[in-house]
Amino acid sequence: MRDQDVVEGLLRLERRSVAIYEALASSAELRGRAAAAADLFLAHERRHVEALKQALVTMNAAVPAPGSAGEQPAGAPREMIRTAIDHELRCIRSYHSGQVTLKAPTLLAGAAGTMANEAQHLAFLRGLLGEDPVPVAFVTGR
Amino acid sequence: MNQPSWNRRDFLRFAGLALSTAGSVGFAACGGEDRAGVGVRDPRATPERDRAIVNGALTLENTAVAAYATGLPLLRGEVRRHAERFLAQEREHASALAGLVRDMGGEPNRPKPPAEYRAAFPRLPDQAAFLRFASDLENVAISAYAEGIPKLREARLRQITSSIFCDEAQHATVLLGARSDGDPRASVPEPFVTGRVRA
Repeated sequence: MRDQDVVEGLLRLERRSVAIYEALASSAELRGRAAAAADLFLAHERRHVEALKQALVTMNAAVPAPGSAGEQPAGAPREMIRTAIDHELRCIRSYHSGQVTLKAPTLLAGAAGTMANEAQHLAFLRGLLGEDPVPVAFVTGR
Repeated sequence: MNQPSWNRRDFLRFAGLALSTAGSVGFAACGGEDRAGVGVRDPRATPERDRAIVNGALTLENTAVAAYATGLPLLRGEVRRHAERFLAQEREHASALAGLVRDMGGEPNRPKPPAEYRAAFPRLPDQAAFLRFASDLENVAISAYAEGIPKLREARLRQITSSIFCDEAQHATVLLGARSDGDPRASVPEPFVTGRVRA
């Protein structure tokens, strides 16, 4: 698999992350720390998208147009946070796989730093739900 | 009051390690040997360098085990429960990394005697002091993993160390949250985790 293919796959996931956190950030149901976290994590996910797009530009590859954002998270705050948790786990799994498939050191470095940020989002979101924020010693996603 | 803080320089002096100061943020920053980002592996990567990076990480994990073991008596309530979990996880990391070093034909770096760690750590009079020290120490580890992972030649090692890197990043989030009453901006301070943002 080419680095370009991996980056395009990660970009699709990060665009979905933006859509999820946009829904959380615009929800009137979320308040306090949860609302502040949704705003912050949305800003992080937008930075990830921009970094991946820039990586494609650096490779002289076309940046794919955004596809469907997918189903928006809805329901009570706990359900919306649960949707974000599930997606963070998928992102972490993809970045973890990227440590095998990617070749360029700059991409490996970016993937590791982004994966760790998603892991931090995951820990914070679990904490909001009253769950153990760091239940495993080796974070590989799902 | 003497603030109990440990930085990267303190750690390197204590551990006798020399880690690179290079690093990048995002995906396309400072290309170095791969400026075009076209999928060229680092030509300097060798099995010997892999072993040295993993053994350096083991030294960090041994230090983290000593730090959490030292701090536990100072801690109460939820913070103590988290620290007990983190201590167990640091032990798991150390065990895994030692196994990898042995698999690569090397001799794993051994922990120093407990008294040597205690003498090197800053004064830790209470829980707040320990939280500051532990978050600094986690950031030193995060920074080392962030720089070491892309230099590893073997994909399996990159996967294992990145899964540990993420665990340390989560520890930092919990520790920083405990210091900031759960403020998300303090708990998750950067979109690309480098360990260079200090609370």
